[in-house]
Amino acid sequence: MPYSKPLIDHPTYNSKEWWAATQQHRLLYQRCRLCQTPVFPPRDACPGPDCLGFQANEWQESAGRGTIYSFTTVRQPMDPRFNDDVPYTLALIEMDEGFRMWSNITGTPVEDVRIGQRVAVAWDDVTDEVALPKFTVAG
Amino acid sequence: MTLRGAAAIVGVCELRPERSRPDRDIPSLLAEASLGAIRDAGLRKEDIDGMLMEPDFAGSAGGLNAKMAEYLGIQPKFGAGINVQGASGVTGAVLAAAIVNAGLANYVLVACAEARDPNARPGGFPGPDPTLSEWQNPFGPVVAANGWYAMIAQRYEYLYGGTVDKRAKIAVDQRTNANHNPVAAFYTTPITRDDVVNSRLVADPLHLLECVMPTSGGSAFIVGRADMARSLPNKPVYILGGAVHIPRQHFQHPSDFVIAPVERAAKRTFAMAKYGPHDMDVLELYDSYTITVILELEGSGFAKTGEGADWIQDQDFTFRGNLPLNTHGGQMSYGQAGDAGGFSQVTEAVFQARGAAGERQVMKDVNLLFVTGSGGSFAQQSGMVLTTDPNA
Ligand SMILES: [Zn+2]
Repeated sequence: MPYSKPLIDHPTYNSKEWWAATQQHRLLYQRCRLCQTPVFPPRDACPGPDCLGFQANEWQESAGRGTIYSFTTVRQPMDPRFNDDVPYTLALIEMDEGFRMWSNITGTPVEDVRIGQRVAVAWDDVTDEVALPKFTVAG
Repeated sequence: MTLRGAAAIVGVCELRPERSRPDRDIPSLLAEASLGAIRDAGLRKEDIDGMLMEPDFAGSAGGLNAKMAEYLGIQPKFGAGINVQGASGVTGAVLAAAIVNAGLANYVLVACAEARDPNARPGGFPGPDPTLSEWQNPFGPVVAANGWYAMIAQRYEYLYGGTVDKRAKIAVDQRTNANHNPVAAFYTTPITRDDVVNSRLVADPLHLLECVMPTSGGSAFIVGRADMARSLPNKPVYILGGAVHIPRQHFQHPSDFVIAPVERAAKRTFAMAKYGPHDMDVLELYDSYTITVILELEGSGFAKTGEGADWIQDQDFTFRGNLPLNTHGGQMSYGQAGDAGGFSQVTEAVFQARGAAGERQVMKDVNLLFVTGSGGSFAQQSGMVLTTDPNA
């Protein structure tokens, strides 16, 4: 059955390479080569303080580990395509490399998810082209 | 340089919040509110020589000033966008004061409206934001803004406590105010703390009665030169200070998001106004959720960081209370007409300052009022101090 949930509605030219890397289960972020600021989502400008870097952000591969910064449990899906998934956990993950990303916590009952838990990426191969970096609580 | 006291809000119009207005479009609602504000100010169309029209959630934006100038039959000599979402009401007032103070216009019309059609847009909110969707939507919808603010509330609980039984205080006191505002969405329905705690979880840890009430509606107000305002029929409501702070767009930004962006805006607002938070008689603070108000109270200096949830227990935020807050009911109980929801805090402040708020008029003297706006996912916030005292 084809995957029917939303994927990359509006890829930017900065994000094509990021999504392509998911197919090989590589979680990318960028780092400014001038000031080393970690950058995510990918873009052309460096957001670092007092850095005027432009197109100086270079792709890096994350080790895929981080800490739950915050989360919520969604019990009422607005989108019927997620009806079978509720309740599910949306979380913000503070990655060890210093960037923050939005994802799901899978494999742990929603009532056992806590801020501060260590998590590791768990790829979900949703199509032949794209895998979603979801996270599981690491032992 | 300061715009302290240079301008005043001289006319306001607030359309009644309705569950939806599929019968009306944005220009119609904007026009009704705009003409109401001109009428309220005792001005003529020709007097309106500046305009700041804020688009609705769906962003029917392109050329909105020109569209509405033609629709209304006005020809302003200055116009611009505001574009800070829910912070646009307060920001629009401050920007209008700056325009007036710079001599670019005498009377600036500021307006926003939402013709929410629940059938067209589930939840009344717009489709995916192209700059965010690929980093959020694949992981499941967040039930509009609920998921974002749930994450803020979750982190606040984790750091400081402040659970729903404490946050409920905001919802209950605002509802009491709404129960005295005949046009509020929840005029006839009182609630208790238990009702809030026992309402269903929308997105952990936020419960239904901690969330905004999406409506259709619209607001307009007119900011005029202080010296000219004195000859108009209404008591002018002077803008003593205002500021905006725009630190981020979204939560991927690596910042501490239990610190409200208004923290910095409030400092500059109070410095310009030459008053502090504890001088304020009435607060109209942007309330998308209970947690939003608590963090704005902390950020603006009313309570210390992490202590807000306990501090609010000792306050009476009703119109009869020691610190009246969101006296129209707030967007949770009055209604949130898209980005015009943030305008309701401005118009309500004006009604209270004039002593024209009817049944919900604050009982103590109203001299100084503090108003805030908040846009997006706690992304950008504004603050403003108002007074009717020309010598304040
Ligand atoms: Zn840099």
